[in-house]
Amino acid sequence: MTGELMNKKKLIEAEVEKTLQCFDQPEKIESSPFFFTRVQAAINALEKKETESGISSIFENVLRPAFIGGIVLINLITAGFTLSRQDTRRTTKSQVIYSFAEEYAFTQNDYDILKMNEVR
Amino acid sequence: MKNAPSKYIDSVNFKELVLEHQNRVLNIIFRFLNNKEDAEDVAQDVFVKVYQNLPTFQGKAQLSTWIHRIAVNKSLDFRRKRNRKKRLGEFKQLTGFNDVEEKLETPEASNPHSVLESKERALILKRAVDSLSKKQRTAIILNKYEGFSYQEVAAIMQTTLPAVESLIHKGMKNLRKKLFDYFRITM
Repeated sequence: MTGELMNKKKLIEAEVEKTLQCFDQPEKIESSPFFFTRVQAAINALEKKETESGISSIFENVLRPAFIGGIVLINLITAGFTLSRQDTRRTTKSQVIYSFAEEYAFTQNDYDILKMNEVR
Repeated sequence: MKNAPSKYIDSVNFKELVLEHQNRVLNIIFRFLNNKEDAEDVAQDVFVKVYQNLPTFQGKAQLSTWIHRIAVNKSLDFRRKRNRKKRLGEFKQLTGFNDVEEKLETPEASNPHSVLESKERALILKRAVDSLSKKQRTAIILNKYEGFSYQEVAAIMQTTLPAVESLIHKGMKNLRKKLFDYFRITM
């Protein structure tokens, strides 16, 4: 029985060694003839992608702030224009009251009352 | 492709570099992945990375060592992702989320009384190597399959010579044990 076991152990060890010999004749594979073309295509695709992302980063870093700045500037100009028009209108009203008071020879007191009741 | 990717190499020589190293790189990757199509895809990624990083290659290691290191790292990354996908697939099947039936690996028909064909033997060895730890597997693949010297393996793995010696010694011991257990059951 022990002899049989010894025999089996030896057989197994022989199989192990035989299997390990496969390291000496490894299966070799060859790359396809179009391998470099594929590598080249992958590099070109990557570079194209990088260029596109470069363009979008120009938009993000330069064009977007410029656009926002432009909008703010337009708003400021519009606000300034509107305020200056309101001032002109107020000056015109004061002038009308003054000339009205002068025409009807109002006293200073009457003029002040008119001025106080000025419709804004 | 732009001109002159590096001071070490120009775009014309890049083609020569690929042609010179493609088969070695492909075979290294193939040892890790055991699939030719996957190996070709990963090899392609390796050379794209080589092209991208050539301008920063400082020449501290040999160019070939550097390329082989990229190949090993890419292979290990691919394996990790593939295993993660496999685990997710198994989980989906268990939970019933996956409708597609996954292909199951069919065990090789082994006849203990017949002499093992060399292909079958090579497959058994491959599976045993595959079951080793990551570092042992890498060292064994590079040294035993690809014939790199211990020094070269150390350079590729960015480790010391004694560490490589230890990895290969322990790896071979583990391989013998795994193969012994396999044959003890099948014989």
